[in-house]
Amino acid sequence: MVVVYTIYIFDRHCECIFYTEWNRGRSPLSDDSAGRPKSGKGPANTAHAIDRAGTHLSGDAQRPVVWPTSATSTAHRVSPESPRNTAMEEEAKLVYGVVFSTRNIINKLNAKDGPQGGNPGGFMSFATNTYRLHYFEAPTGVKFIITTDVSTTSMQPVLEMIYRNIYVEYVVKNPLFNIDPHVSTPIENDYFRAVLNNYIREISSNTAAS
Amino acid sequence: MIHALFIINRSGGLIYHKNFSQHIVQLSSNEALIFAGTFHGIHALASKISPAPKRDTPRDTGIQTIDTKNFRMHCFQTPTGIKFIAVTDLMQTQLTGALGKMYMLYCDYALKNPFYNLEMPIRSEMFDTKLLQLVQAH
Amino acid sequence: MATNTQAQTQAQSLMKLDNKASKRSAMLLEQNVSRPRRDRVGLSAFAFLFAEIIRYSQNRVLGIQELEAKLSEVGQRVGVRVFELAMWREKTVHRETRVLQTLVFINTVVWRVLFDKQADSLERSTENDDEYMITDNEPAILKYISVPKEMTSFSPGAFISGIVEAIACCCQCPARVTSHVVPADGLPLRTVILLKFDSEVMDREKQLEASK
Repeated sequence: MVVVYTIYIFDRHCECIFYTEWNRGRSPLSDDSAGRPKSGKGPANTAHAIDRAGTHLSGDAQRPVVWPTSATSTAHRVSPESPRNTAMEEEAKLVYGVVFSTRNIINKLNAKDGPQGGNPGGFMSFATNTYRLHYFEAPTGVKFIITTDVSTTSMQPVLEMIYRNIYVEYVVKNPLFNIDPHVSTPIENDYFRAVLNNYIREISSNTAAS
Repeated sequence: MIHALFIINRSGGLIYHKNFSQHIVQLSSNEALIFAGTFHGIHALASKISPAPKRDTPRDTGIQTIDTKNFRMHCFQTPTGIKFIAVTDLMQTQLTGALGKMYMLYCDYALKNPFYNLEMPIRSEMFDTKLLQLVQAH
Repeated sequence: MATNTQAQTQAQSLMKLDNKASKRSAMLLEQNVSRPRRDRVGLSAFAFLFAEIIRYSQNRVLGIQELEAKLSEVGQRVGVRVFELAMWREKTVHRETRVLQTLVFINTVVWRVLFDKQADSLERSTENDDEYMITDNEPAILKYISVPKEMTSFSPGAFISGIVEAIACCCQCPARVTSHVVPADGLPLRTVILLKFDSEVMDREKQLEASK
């Protein structure tokens, strides 16, 4: 049975543009209410509204928490007073640091004077005694990270699927997604969230049945 | 097939590095030091970012394996904080036994050697020989 | 009830284990010195102690020769005691006085007391009549020692040569004893103990030979 804990998506600017979680006991998001959009505040309010609007798409009352929203992201913060989840930012930075360093040492071991960027060494996953982290880097430099239980060894097809059939379809092809080449934009696309959520639920239960 | 071995002391310093095949790049001593420092860091951070529910899982003890396209890395950390990192082919799913034996060799031929200074690079001919025998027999 | 009896049996078995352990340690500690083959020392324990002896000596000497001399000195103190012990265990009533018999005594009895085996060979030098060589292919006490490249001339077997020197001296056959690492195929630690007997010993040998 696949137990999926979290998904992170990082863009070319090393910025976390999407985070969501399942089956996670305590997390910086659930611990710290500051990270959640609060109603009654300008930009946060709209984010909340979108969040609620997406509910019917997934058809699931238990929607996963997501981060960042335009209200909380560092790049798009409207005003310094906007709620900011520093714990979550910190964690995203740590995750990025770990996969980035791991990818680099593997590249080093794989080819002398090879290209510095990208993932030519083919870093796929690492495991500790409590979880396994899977890594997939698109040729454009967008990085997909998914954490699962230790025994789930191959999530490469899943990550590729998320990239090809969900990210490209629902984020990149969405004319309203503001892809600015210089600034990171958090993914606030409800179709994307819903489809991703359904897909993860599907693979979790599928493997359980087989 | 074991391609290479790194041993890192408890403060992240490289104390042993040897390639047993041409499969991976022979790092220069400087690059190997950087490798050791980096690995030491990600090993510690990986346990910090564990998403597993804290309630019913044991404490995370850091990276145990890293899978890549061409090789697999196995890390064994001793209770005293020394890390044995072996680079193997992808067929090798478990290496705890061999890494444990390497730990034994370290205890025997490094620690019991009067010319070995703790936490310093291992320069012991006997250790080299015994390690090579172990790797070849594996 | 069931758990109770289980706990009882567990406690009993634990007590048994405890008794066994204490008996074993008592056996080891209170063993009679005359029992030749029963008392053994853990090689690890000895290796750590010996490594520390070398490190301690190394910090108090200048150069390799002095270090070997220091180790030999330690060995000599051990040798005097080992000689006494070997004599007591072997229940020999006479002491060897002839060179050859002394050498055989060292080669077999002393080596058995020290290493639980005989030395691998005993030879007379082809060049000098007063030189003899005892060879050990794998001296157990050197098993974990790797001499660094800058000290290749150092032979940690100096400790053994010290023991041998003391015993030769106790047998009234004083000799200058040195040790040399002479690696052979698959035997990187093969150590040769070279004894060069004093001239008066050789003179005495000749006289004894003549008087026969």
